[in-house]
Amino acid sequence: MGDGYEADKKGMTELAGDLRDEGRALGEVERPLRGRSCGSEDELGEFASGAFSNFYGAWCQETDVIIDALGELATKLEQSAGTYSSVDAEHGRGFAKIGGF
Amino acid sequence: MGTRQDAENVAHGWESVNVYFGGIGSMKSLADAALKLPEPKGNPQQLADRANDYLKAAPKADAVSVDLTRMASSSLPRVWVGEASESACDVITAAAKEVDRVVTVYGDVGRELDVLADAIAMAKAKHNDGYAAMAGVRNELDGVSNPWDFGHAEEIKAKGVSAAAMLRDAAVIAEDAGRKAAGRLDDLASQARAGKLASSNLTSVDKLVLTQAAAPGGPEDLNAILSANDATRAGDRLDKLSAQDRARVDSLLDNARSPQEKAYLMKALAAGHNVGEIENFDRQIHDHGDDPQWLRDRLTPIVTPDHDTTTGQNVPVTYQGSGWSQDQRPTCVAYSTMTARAQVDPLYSLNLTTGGHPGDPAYDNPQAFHERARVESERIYSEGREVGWHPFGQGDGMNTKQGISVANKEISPATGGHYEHKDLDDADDRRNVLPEVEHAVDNGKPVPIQVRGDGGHQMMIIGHEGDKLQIYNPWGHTVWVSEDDFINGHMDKASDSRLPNADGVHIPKD
Repeated sequence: MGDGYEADKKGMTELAGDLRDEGRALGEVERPLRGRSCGSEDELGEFASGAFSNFYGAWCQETDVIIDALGELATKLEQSAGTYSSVDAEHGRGFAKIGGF
Repeated sequence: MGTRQDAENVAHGWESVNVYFGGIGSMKSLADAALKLPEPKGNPQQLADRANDYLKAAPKADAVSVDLTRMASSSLPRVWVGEASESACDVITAAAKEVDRVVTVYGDVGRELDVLADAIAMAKAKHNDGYAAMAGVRNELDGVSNPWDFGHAEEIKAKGVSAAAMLRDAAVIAEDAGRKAAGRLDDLASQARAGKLASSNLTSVDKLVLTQAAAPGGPEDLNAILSANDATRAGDRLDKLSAQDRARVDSLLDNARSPQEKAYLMKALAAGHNVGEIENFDRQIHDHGDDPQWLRDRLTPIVTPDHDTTTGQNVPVTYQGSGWSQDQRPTCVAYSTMTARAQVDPLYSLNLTTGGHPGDPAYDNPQAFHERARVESERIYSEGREVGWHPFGQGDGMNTKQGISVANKEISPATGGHYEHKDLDDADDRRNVLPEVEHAVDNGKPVPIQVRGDGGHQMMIIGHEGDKLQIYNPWGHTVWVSEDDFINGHMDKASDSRLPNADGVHIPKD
């Protein structure tokens, strides 16, 4: 049972770490795109520059939400791991409700 | 006046030169005007580099999506059970899907920017060739010593016409490519809905799950319950609620039985309903909250079944087999407005489909729906026809002023802003209005369109994919037409051969 408890706790912590890693990986994917300006008429021409700027802003926000959501879920996992006890494990008690979910 | 129009005027001027009557002077003026036409803006190399960045980012994002999809299916801790497990799975799945959308969008934008880079390069080359040729023409005109040598004047005119055509083509290529790219970029921007749900009262997890929720029966990306406009409006309204009302909405969201139920609650908020109305709405749908198909049938009249945008193919719009159709009554304006309102306001839709008695066979059946829709469309029709002065009575149907009036009364409260009419007298008018039309429908605002030929009819533009527009015809179906159909008088594909011309649109304004 002790092994199961440790494994459960480790599993939660590892998944939290994996989710944060995926968030970081997405941030890395984004880095070269965000390193550039959001698009001027000199680059995109007079008809597409406004639309590109709008697109750029919208998808920067969108990927921020994804990265933040992965972080929020990781935090929930870490909180679960923090409160999970060997007694819970012995009685097979799981978390049916997590704060905010 | 824009560069394209200036270039077209110069080209037309060259074609019209009369070499026998003041020809040299006219050509000098036209050459000077042509040489003032600006080179098309844009930097093809920078654009190609940026396109390449997006194309390289897409597969890297795909690796993240694959990892998240795997985690959602296999890595959740076994100590998370029941609701917690389901919710966590929902979140990781939503994140995986959203990253998958990032992959698609980055690939699309990379290809779009590449096409734009090529077009701008071609436009610049044409402009520079045209400019050099026109400069040569101008020099030749300066060297003319015998203004009565009409043969030479004809030669110069031919060179001028050719150079001016190159300058005109350059402007047209740049503008067409720029507008096309802008339309596509607008469409892609509108797909980023989670970021638009900018409420400080929602977590990022909430935003992701809410904006991913889709009506079943077709691809999720085409049937999201919350449009970009809904997301913006719902976020704004949420932040403006009192603490007490906010707690009431939180309670509804916490107890919702599916992401779809939550999304419809937010859509009701976006449509402008107060918290009491939304609570009453939830009491009517909550028992079916975990049945997305039940919700979709009653709250989303029009679902797009697939990505097939083949033009001219009718897809019936029905509730339990009964068409969302005006039948043989002169109520196209009223009926198309009613259906558009139902598409953006789930409370209104629920009332039409179920009469406020969902699940009660006496009310929630196809015949009763058909009768309620008829009565409601007649209400909109008769109220709308009161607009204006009609001392000698009026014929069947509704005029433009009345159509605008009902759009503003019935649809605008749910989407914000107001409608303004735009006459479409020719192909140029139609081409020029397309960006506004597409921007509106990409963001979830329906656009009423009037078509004419032998008689008149109103339909509703409700979707946009690439160079196609999705039309709801109140004869009871949706259908795709191309931008070319819209511009060049082939709207009969959406109705029938009597009605080929797009004659006007009501454009939503903020």
